[in-house]
Amino acid sequence: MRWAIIIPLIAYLGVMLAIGVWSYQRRLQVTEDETGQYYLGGRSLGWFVLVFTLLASAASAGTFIGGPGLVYSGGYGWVLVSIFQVPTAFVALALLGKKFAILSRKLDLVTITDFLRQRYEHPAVVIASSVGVVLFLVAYMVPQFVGGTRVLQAVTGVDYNVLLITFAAVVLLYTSFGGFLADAISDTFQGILMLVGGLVVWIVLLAAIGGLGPVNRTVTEVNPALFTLPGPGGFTPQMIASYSLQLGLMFCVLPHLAVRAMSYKDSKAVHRAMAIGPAIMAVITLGFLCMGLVAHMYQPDLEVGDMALPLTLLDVLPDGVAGVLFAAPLAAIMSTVDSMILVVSGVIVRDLYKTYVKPDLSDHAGARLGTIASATVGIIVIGLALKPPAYLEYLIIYAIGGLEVLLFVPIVAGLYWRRGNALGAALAMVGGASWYVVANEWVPDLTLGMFPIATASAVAFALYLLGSYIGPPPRHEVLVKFWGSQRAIDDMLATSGAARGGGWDGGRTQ
Amino acid sequence: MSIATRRDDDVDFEEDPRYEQANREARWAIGYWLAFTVVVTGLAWWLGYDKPADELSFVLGFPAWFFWSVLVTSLVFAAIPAWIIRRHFKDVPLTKDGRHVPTPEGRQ
Repeated sequence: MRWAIIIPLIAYLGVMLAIGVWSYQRRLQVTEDETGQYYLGGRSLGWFVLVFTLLASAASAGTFIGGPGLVYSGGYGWVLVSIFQVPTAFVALALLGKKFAILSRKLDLVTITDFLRQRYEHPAVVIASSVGVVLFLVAYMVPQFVGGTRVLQAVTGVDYNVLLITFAAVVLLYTSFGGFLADAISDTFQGILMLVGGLVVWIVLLAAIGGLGPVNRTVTEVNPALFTLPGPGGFTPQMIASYSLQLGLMFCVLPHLAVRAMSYKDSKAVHRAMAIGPAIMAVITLGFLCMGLVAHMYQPDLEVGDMALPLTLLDVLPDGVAGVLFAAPLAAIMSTVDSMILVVSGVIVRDLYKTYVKPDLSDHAGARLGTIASATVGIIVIGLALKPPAYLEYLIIYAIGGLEVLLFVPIVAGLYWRRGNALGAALAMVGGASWYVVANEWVPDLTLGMFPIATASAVAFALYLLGSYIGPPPRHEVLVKFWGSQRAIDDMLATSGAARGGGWDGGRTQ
Repeated sequence: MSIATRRDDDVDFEEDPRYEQANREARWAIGYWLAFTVVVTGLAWWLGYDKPADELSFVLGFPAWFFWSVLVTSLVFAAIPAWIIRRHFKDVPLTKDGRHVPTPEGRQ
């Protein structure tokens, strides 16, 4: 047991719990739109919280543990493909954009499934997206916990199960009770920690080693291929570019990020967040990933790269300082998992339970049920993490790619193209996801030498076009809701809404 | 891509004027992403692809292809959104009816 490392980590967990308590008290004071408060923090985020919650939710165990590990064994090529997450904050917020933010207020959208349900009005689309979100996000959360806990176990000497349960219980408590606000504010704290950690690691390690010269000499001796392209990672140009699809363009539809595009206060907040986000992400990405190479100085022959950076930090730094830095990967993991728990909980309560089981669920009961659902999801993830799967980064990439293929075309095309309809969306989801799985698992030729997400998305897009032209166009009401002004929507509701009883609008019945 | 605004349906309702601007901003996002992807991939390919390790040149301790395509490009591109936003993005109210002063709590 290394207490000098453990104590800063305990202090860090204490701060997280305090944020949870504070958010829970804020939440208790709100009596109107409690569900919106729980899942979106009342759409009130300013730029500072917005940018950090977005980046912290996007940066995960991959950025700190899996990533440096891959660079350790695969070289600079892995930094090259990871750099594609730099534009993500800007692209995500501008592509879903103000239209998404305005629509979410007009139509009272809380989850991306709300969007899909009102846009396509078809249970197949709703269920495909809900089930996909629950399965893929749970799959994604498990290796996050496992990876983080393994590292902590190695550096602190505390038992795996004890660590996992403590660490997960803290996430569970503040997320279940504090809701989105606790999630966003703890993300901000965690994001700052990552940013500072990214800078400190550079300075400390390079100062200790005396610049990159010695690193380069060591790497040249050990494995000069780490400097080259395609290198051990096999990065051909088409492979490199297809990473940009996954980490840059399509990242925005991941449900835990897309809800952040509904949650900001005004145009000013989103403008500032978009302007600053890429710079912060550049520092975080370069800071930690490049250290995978530096680690060769201290750890010449590790079997699995995941421990390269943590062990190096232990060698170079006094325990207390290392303990503070280890809070950064912990923060990356917690900030991703907390937002995912909330998304999965929202899908279960709002998109499945309220829509198909109990349409008259009250706002108050919905918010309360949210707490229970979040806690349950967290407990299931812990259960899975106690029996950990084998390799970290590939599982993560598989889950993320699968969700992106499933959701990108229906969301983005549905947002901007009027002709897009339910048949197109359903075909795109089923066809794209099937192609992705088949290409990934059985027929690698289907990927054309790229990440499977590239051809799968092309297939999804083609099927969306096909279905949209074959099937009937969206109903007039849908067009008014998604393209009309508020006055047009109100007029339509006044004439047809009274007769139809608002039954088409699941989000508004109260 | 999917961003093209089509008008194949005859429109008989008042459209929300803010969406026009939102479409434009979404196109900027795609353009920016495309430019970043092409520059990073292109520079890496041009400067470093298929070069054996002993032929690589180094800049400030990094392989030259990495220095230019990753470090320099990402820092330059990290600064570009601020310019795009100042020149081409508009500050529009996000309230339901597009009025600047939201009703208390944003809803009735």
